[in-house]
Amino acid sequence: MNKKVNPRFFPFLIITNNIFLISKRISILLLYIGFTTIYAYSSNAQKIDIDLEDVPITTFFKEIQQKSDLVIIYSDELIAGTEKVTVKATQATLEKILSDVLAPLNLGYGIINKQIIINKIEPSIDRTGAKTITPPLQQTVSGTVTDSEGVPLPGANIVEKGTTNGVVADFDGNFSIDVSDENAILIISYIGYNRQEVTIGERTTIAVQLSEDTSILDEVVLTAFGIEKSKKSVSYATQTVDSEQLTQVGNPDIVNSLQGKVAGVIVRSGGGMPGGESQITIRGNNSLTGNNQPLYVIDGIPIADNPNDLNPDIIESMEVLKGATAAALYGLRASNGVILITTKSGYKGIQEPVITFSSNFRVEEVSRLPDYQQTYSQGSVNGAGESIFQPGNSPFSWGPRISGIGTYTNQFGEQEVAQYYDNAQDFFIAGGTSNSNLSISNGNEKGSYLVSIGYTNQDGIVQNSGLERFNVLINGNYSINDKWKLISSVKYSDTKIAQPVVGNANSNPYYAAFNTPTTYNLRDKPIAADDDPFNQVNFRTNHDNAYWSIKNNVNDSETARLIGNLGFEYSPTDWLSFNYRLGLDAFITKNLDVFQLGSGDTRGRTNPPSGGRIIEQTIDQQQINSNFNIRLQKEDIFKNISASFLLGNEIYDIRNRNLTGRGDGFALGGFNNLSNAANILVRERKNNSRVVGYFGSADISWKDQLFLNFTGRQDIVSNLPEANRSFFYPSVGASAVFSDLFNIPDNILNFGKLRASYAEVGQAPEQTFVQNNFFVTGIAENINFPFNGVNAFRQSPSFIASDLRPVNTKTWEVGAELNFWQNRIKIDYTYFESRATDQIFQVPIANSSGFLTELRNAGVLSTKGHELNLRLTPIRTDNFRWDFQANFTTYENTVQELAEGIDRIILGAFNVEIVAEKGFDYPSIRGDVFARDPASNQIVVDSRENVNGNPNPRYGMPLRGTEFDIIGSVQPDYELGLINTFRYKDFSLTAQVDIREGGLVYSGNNRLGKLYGTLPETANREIDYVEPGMKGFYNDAGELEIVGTNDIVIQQGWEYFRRNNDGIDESNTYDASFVRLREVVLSYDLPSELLKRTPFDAISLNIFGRNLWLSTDFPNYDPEVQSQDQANNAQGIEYTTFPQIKSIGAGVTVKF
Amino acid sequence: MKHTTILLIAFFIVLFNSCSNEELNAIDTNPNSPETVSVNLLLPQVTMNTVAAMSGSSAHVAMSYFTEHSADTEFNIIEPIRGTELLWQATYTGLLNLQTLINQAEEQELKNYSGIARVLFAYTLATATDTWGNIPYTEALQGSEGRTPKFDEQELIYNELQVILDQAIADLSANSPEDTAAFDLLLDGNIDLWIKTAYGLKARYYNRLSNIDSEQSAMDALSSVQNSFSSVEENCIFSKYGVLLPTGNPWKVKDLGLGSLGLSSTFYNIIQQFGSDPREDILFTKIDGAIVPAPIGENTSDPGHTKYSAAVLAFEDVQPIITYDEIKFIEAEANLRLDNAAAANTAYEAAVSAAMTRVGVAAEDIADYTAQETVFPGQASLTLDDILSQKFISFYLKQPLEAFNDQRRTGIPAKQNPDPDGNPLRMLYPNIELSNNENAEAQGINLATIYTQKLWWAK
Repeated sequence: MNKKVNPRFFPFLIITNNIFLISKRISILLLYIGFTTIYAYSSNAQKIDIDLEDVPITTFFKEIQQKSDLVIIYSDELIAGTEKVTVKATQATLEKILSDVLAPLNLGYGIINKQIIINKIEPSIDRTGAKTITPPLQQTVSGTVTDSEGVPLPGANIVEKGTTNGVVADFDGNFSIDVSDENAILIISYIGYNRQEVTIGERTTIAVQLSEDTSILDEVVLTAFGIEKSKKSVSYATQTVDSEQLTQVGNPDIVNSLQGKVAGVIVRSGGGMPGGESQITIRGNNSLTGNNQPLYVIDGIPIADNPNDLNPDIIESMEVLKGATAAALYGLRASNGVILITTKSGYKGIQEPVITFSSNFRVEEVSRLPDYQQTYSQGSVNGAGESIFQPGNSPFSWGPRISGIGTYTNQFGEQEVAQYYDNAQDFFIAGGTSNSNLSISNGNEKGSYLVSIGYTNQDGIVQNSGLERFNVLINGNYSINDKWKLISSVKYSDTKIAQPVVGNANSNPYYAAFNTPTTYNLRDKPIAADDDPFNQVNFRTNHDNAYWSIKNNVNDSETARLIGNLGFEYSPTDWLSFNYRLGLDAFITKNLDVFQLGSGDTRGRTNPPSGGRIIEQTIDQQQINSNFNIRLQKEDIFKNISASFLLGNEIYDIRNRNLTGRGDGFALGGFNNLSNAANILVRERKNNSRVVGYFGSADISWKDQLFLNFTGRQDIVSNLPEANRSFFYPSVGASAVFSDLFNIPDNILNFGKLRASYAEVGQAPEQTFVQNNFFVTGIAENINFPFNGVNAFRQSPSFIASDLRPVNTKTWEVGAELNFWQNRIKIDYTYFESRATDQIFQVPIANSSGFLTELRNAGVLSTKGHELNLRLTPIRTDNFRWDFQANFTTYENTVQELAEGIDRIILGAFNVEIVAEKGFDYPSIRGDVFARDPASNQIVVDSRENVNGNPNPRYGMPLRGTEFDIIGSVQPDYELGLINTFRYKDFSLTAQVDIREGGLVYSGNNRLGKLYGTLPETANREIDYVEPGMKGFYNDAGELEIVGTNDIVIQQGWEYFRRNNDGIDESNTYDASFVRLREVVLSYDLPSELLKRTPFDAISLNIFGRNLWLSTDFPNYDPEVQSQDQANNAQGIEYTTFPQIKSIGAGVTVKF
Repeated sequence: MKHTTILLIAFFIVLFNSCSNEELNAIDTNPNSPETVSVNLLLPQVTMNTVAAMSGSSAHVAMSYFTEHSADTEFNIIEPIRGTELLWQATYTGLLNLQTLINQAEEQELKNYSGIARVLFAYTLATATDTWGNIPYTEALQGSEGRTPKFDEQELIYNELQVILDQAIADLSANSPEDTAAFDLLLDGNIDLWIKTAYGLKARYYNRLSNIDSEQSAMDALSSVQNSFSSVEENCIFSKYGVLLPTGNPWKVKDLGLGSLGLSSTFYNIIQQFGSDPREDILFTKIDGAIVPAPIGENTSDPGHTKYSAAVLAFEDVQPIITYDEIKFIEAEANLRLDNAAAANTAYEAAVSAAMTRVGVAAEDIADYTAQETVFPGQASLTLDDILSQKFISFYLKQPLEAFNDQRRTGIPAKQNPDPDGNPLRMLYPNIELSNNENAEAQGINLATIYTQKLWWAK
């Protein structure tokens, strides 16, 4: 089911109200006035009260439009001179009322696609019968109907004026109609667009472009459990991203593609690594240490995890339900918002298979590399302060000037001339991604299907890295009769990912990839000894040669995932329906990590090579979701008041098993099997949990102008103590279409709505097995039990409090939607606040308590912020259109409280800590800071020339603060996505610029580059420098004494970067603001005239680029870095991670 | 309709059954972990915690640099004092499991288990207080009941060490019948040796108080020495490390990571001041046939050890906890403080010979070495400097904390590191404790005061 927002973007959505779509080949079957039985709008059975006396027929039409949600289309001539009408009916069907009123006027009607088309009725035509008499036909006219940008309008009505002769355009906007004579006039209409009349003359083909009718605003949004609501009725913010936006740049990761496209949503890139997972947060973080990712719901069924193994091509749209109000019905997993994903499906009434093939390819390269210093050679500085050239034997580039070295003997005994090598540029290669997708869909009046097969292949920008994904989607639905409907969907994916080994360990290739010593020719030197491929050659003793690492070490994963659902809808009457869905999300992930014989990570870089480690991990999980609900819908229960109710039950049950075998000590190199290991350790972990929820909602509306909504849900969970495992939470919302309410003239404000809502969502801990404390397998330093033939256990270092109670997230939001100037300006603004209390997590506890963490309720995290979605259409002419969209997000995520006695929670650490600290932004970076003069806040340098009778090597260099301190916030001040779309005839150009302002990153790559002496800032090593600030020292009491303004001349060299500043984390922490051209897409749809004689119905071509341009003050590397530790909300640390990529590519879509 | 009704009834039966407390409790029953375990499953864990996690922790590697046994040849001591988190964790999770073991053993009257556990408990507690000074003890190990334990004075901890060790000796001397051999990875169920270990530790901790009460500490130490190890065969040394990375000695594992454990010039100077030492060939690698020490505190880089000698290490290296030679050095020092020069000299000579024997020096090489007057100067010339310098050598490489303790207590041997950041007097409390226990911050230990504030016994 889909919402229908903007048919321009997604022409197929129009069909979702289960009517029809007609291929041009069967256009004969077309709509005749009165021929309403087959193509009846589903709600035409709705019963209406009406009471009009002696009113113009136009008033009658308006009344019907308002009550039926349908649009009436008529020509003025048709009704010119009609008498006034009188109609009185209670609970009469629309059909009856229309027939009663129109028949005496010799008018007929057809209902199609939410439109009532009024036409003159020939006396001979039986209005209600199945047969119609066709007027004599003499001429065939074919043509296309498009919007002003040339996007086809499938389902557009083409009616010969003054007759009942009509056809409907197929899904490419093509139609063919036989008309009576050359004087015939065609009336072309389409919901949401201005009707157009075209005189045929002698033409046999016509192209019609309809302009948007801005007065109609009846967008439909998808809400919880697939319930569609009129957009004006919802009391919270939602935003949709459609298929085209997700697929247009060939990005294989659907989550990553959301960046900049939705207000309130921030995506943290998973870097450019094939299969790298992106993190998404909607309106900030609600959980201190737990999951802050939204709940993903595919085709009505919540799934277990990030859907990044889905093929973007099978997705029709993604609807982001931002606040807890929107998601309250989904229960405890929804406190971080919900992303509803709808996959593509077939359309009823096609009756001939439609085949669509699309394919794109892009080439990728590393987005940004430093402008390395090329002056100084590999080497270091000795105790006397002299630079020593150390060819082939140092990780550093602090040696003497390359220009003065000349020829030297390298470690192979060869003569080599010292020169600079651009090793980083050499290491990263061009990568590429190709996506291909083939789909077949068909349908008749009973049901429809869509089968889609997709294949994605990515070669990473590092050798031997890549992704291969195979996807199948089968969607089908079938109406057994007018009461029973069956729905089923199966998605299968098989994803293989190969990555370089990661982590800050000795086998990580990025140390060398980014910071190979300047004069070491990494690319052309052998990676291993001639006689032993596992005896490495490298410039650094304990680290792997980067090329050797990517050739020999393995970091592979393979996931087979099946997401399926089966369900029925039973509608015994038009106001009552029963819905049931049973969903399954099952996956098996197999991970294989190999640190090859001789790898530095297993301490095997010895001669002969030793070490070697293999880790084989199998994770299987199955999640079963059962959802039953009853829906009641009643219009005009009382005068002007309509209501709908929902009652339901949801059960989900998750079973997970993780079996890991680790083998150490390889006998043979290159034999990647557990049997190759001398020491094998196997671990098993299971997780089981279940949630049973009961929920209900009530929607009440007045005159389609005021709306009230209530929801409530009671959850019973397995992983809370008996006394606290059942809990209730409510939501309430209201919205008012004040533009209708106060009859504000269209030329001022054509639509205005205010909304407000409040919701609570309860939550259980993420951890399972919380009722008792237990013992776990013994481990001490690197020793795992069983060891030496004995097993051992220890008390779990995580203590479980006995009084756990559910988490509660309270959210409120207010917002406004304002559309001006015939929808040329649309503003959707929301202010939101949320407060998550009683958070349950592994609260760090003073270790002196005997435990490392304690699972308990502790902490309050609050979020307040603004989001704004602005859409403008600055220029709109027949052939040219410029659309502009801005998505603005800003929020403050603040740690309000932590458990008593706890100052902060460390979320992750590598040199610096990423912390949740009371009263500070969440998360913040904490670490060693510069010592600062309290009076001036300036940096203080060490003024002591001698210490303990020895010369002070730190003289004139910045002092370090005495304790860890907050360096700053990881949170950006704001994010802004700007999307411009220009359309000229069949061309369209879209450019998206993303802006992120603020937010700090501790940059490991920059740290290492300064330490190693490769980055451009280390090129000034011989230049005299005075650190701006004060000078002083710590006295014996540990107090900072300021001596005066700093005037000590030093050089920013080896001692400065390596001995002194490296230990001051603040010096390696940078503002990660940027402005970036995220996406550019130029697309061209071939005109249908060109395709007439081809087997193709439509062909569109596009070329695109991603991350092509960047402006930032972040030094040397891409500011959008992959987080060091994605699992623990520890954003803000980057350390030797895979770089971001930029890409350009091209694609084609063909329909048969 | 009939079918629909049956289906509906079945549906609701399943529905309500799916959320009964019994069903949900069953789902939340941990299939991965037991809720109780026996003492023999606890003993190997607490033993390895003491041996590997305490004595092989990265904090001890750092102490090897501070005491100037070693020089870091890759990154020096750029970031000297943090990295004690794991030692802190090992201390308190270790103490908790030891406490659990002691409680369980007492309930079941398994006195050999409680005795061994008490020895390990005292060793763990002492390691912690010698690393940080004041530490939580009386209010520690309470879980949720005491989330912010107060910090006890080091003096209190030192008194408590003797109490715990006395209890241990009482337990071990009770002739309890249970055989711990299969689960005692350290001393293979040798209860007599455990008793001697307990006395040895008593001697060590008494002797530590030489600055507090010179005479009494010496007399107390000597009385314990009598009951401790009596020959070079008797030691408390762990010797079951395997030949592979995952079962190997953590010292080797760590050094292979950075390749940074270099021979420090300070240490080499101390060895050299006694003359030619046969241990040089055993302990250090050579560069082109020569031993080249790395200058301590110098900002240089030689991870491949092409310029400076490295420590000789193997995965299966033993980990000494307390040794016969240490007991003899204590005996020598205590006697010297009591002006028993003859006894001091006898003990000193036994200590030096035993220390050399322990690292595998042949008897005749020991004889050659000790024949030098610089090594065995005789009772008239023997100085505290001789004793503590030889003791300093004997602690190389894997007992840096004891070397560091002696150095902080006596100033012997003198530090030679010119880098002001290379000479801390104690370790910083780990951030995890500072963040979660306000009593930690109140100790006033920070990056400035670690260089100025001595431990209680160091005065």
